[in-house]
Amino acid sequence: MFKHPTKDSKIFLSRWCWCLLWVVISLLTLFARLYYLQVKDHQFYLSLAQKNHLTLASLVAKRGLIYDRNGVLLADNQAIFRMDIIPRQTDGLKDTIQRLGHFIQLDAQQIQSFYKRVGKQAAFHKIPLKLRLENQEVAEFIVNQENFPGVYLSSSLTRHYRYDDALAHIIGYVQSGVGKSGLEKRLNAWLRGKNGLKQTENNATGKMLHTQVHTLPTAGYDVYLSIDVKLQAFIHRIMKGLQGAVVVMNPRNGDILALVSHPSYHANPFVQGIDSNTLNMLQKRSDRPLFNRALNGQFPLGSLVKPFEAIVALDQDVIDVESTIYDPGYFQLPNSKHIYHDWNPRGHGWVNIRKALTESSDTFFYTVGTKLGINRLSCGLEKFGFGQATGMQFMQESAGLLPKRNWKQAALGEAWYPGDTVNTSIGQGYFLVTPLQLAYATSILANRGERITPRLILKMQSAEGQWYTQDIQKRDPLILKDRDTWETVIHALQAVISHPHGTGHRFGRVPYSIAAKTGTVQVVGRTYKWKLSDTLPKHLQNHSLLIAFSPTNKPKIVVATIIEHAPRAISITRCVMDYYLLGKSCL
Amino acid sequence: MSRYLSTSLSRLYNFLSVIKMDWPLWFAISLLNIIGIALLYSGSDYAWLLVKRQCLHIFLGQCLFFIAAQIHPSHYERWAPYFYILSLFLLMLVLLFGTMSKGAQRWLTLLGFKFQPSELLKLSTPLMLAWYLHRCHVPAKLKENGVAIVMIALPVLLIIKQPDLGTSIMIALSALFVLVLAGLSWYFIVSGIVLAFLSLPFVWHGLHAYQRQRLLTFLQPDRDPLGQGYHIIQSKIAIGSGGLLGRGWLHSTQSELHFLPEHATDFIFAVFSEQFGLLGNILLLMLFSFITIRSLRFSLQTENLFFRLFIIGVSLIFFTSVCINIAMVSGLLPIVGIPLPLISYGGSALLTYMIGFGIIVAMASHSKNRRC
Repeated sequence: MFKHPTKDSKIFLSRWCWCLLWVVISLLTLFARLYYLQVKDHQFYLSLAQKNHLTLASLVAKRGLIYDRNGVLLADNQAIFRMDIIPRQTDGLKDTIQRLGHFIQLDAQQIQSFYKRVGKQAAFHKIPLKLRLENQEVAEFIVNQENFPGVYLSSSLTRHYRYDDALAHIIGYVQSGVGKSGLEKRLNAWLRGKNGLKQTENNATGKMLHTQVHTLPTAGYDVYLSIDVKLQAFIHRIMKGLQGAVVVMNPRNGDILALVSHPSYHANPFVQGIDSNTLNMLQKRSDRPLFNRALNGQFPLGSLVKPFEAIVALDQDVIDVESTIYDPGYFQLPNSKHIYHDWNPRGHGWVNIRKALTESSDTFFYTVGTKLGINRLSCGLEKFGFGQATGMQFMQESAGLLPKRNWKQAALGEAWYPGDTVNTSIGQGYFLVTPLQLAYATSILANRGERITPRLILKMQSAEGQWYTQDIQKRDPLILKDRDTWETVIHALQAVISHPHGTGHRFGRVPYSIAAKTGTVQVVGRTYKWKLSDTLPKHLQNHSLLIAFSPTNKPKIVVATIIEHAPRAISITRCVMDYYLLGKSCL
Repeated sequence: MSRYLSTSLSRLYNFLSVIKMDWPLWFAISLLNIIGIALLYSGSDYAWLLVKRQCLHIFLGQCLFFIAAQIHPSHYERWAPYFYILSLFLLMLVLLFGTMSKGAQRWLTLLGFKFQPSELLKLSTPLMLAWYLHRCHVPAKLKENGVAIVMIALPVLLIIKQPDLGTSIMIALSALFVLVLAGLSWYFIVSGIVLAFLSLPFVWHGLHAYQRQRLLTFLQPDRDPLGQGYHIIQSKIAIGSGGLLGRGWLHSTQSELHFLPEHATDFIFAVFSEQFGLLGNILLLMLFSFITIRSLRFSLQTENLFFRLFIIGVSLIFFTSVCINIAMVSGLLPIVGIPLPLISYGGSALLTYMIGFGIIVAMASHSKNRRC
């Protein structure tokens, strides 16, 4: 064979140059790729790297406690334990969970949802296994802890209510750290405090390397209610089996001492996450335990309007103390055939203002209301707070409804008929009030015109120990032409209890002075009721109402009671009064 | 005093000139070794164990590098076929008696040492090809090319069987480079590339399940972010978070907190990138290219075709390994398990490259001497 060194070299040289080109192209490609990753997308990858090993977590602030007026703890925080697993640190995930089963109750659903999350999260992340461990489970696990690498126990604080159902309508409840109803919701910003922030660094096995606290948490405000929890719980107990509301208020300073709506519900299960079945049942119950009747229940007030109407009429000089009217048991408007019945079909005979209040004569007030006219009547009643929210802070209350001439036109598109005035004058028709409004109106009467807004919160204390107190809120007093008008009406109301013919005589003899007015509200029409009175089903029976205050000269307590479908308002109020004024329990 | 210093300096100079060595090449290679040690130290809790072992590997490698450089290259020419046959024999031994590890049978235990015979083929295949083509007329004829392809196919198939896709691809590629350099006509080259593409579906069927998984993962890393895709996602995070200047030696979170898997071996480039950034990467690539181009230049300095083809073969195996490793770590190519030459932890590959560069130095310095 003959070799051509020159030809060899030529080919080799050209191929060598191709090689060099290959080297250069490869280098440029790599450079472009690295530039793309390290310069163009640098921020993106840097944040991913930090997400890998740095975790920001909040240090949950201690939620403020809630006390009653005497410093009795109502809502506190309790430690609960949860269990998490870092799969990578365990020696065998399946085996670990199986062995854990000896100490801890695990249902199939918990295990299933755990494995679901294992598939989705990195193996160095904590995955929750059980969110709430029993104390005994915690104790048994801690003893055997060294056999379970990668299994972590952590504790956190959760809300607990001491007077679970007695206060549920007032305090409400918290779910996952946020107030969902009641004061917990309204005061959430004060109660929750300020969470702190910490950063932890972990390695790829999930081992925590170090923790840095950026900001410390600040605990929330402690709140003191005006509620007297002993009274509240007592009323809650005596209302057993009844539907209705009781509001107890101190007329001197507006303190709400008790605000009971019955039936109630248990708040603690809501904190732990109530199951949908139980919730469904609560929502569907016909006696509506989730509904706060004391603030949002709107009822016709019936005869309870009479003392206020009497004050308006006397002040407007429509009648005077001596005016008498003959009550034949019914009332007719001039030029009308329609008959308005008195509750007593036999009538009350000749009645003046005192007898009319004591015996609750409808005919007398039909006449008075018609004489006043709807404009003067509603204007006068408005001064007692009817038809508007009382202005009690931090709770959501309904405004009720005080019918007026122009309201009917605007709301129903109908003219105001004289018959509407007749109905309004005995608290029927469109007239609606809340139990809280009744208590407030009664406190104005008891105070002889002094108007003090109800308050539910007395004071709050910050984590630094600073106090914020809620002052007594006085509004412009209601001044009558003649101060004796107050005494006339209050005197008549005392007779409601003490006079043998008084509608509240059933109240019985008591060692304290008391003024009260009874009321009955029909659920179905009167004629219908008369035909069926004895066999009427429970949900169609009358509501019974009572407002009362005591003592009459220097009142310490105002009670407004509404009992649905049962004539129990008088006996319930007697129990409340006896308990508060005499310390006597009727149970 | 100064005379004593100058005489001792001249003695040192005489000694160094007697030794056959290309000092710039040696310097660049040693620098890469040291970088490897630094990265191993930073990336592991068991740093000292790995560092000590790798130091031993490097010491052995440096010795073999110097020894290989002193041997006259005509000896390599004479031993080439025997060496080739011996390494094929060892490959078969691996298939029969090899040690299993991570699902592959790649290691052979001899006298208490574990090593990968497939690494030897990185030297013996180009040696054999160069030896064979050197004896033929250049450009080689069709029949001679056919024989050469059989010489390549034998070890490649044996290594695929282990299975070790990475190494077999490397050997095939470098051997093909040798053929191209030997003057394989463009007609063959182009039709070969077309044929390779056409056979892709068949290759797919021939792949092991885990190899298919890797390819799918490469095409779509989010398919399985915690399993197969985890490696490549974490590696890209490591490289990308390095940025322009890097996060500093011993300050990388991805590798030091173990989010990056295989940080001592296949993914060591990601460790480097995270710590030294794009600037460090450019310097590293320059170092690799310097070694490659300096070796390629040696091939121009000799007239001997055997020397030329061998030098080209080994330096392109070296360079292509670098490229494929970086491309796979940065998500440009699927993960095929090729370590970063001279830096990744591991004895077999390091020793192979050191011996290879030793032979290159021997060939380069002897051809120089002949010229003088």
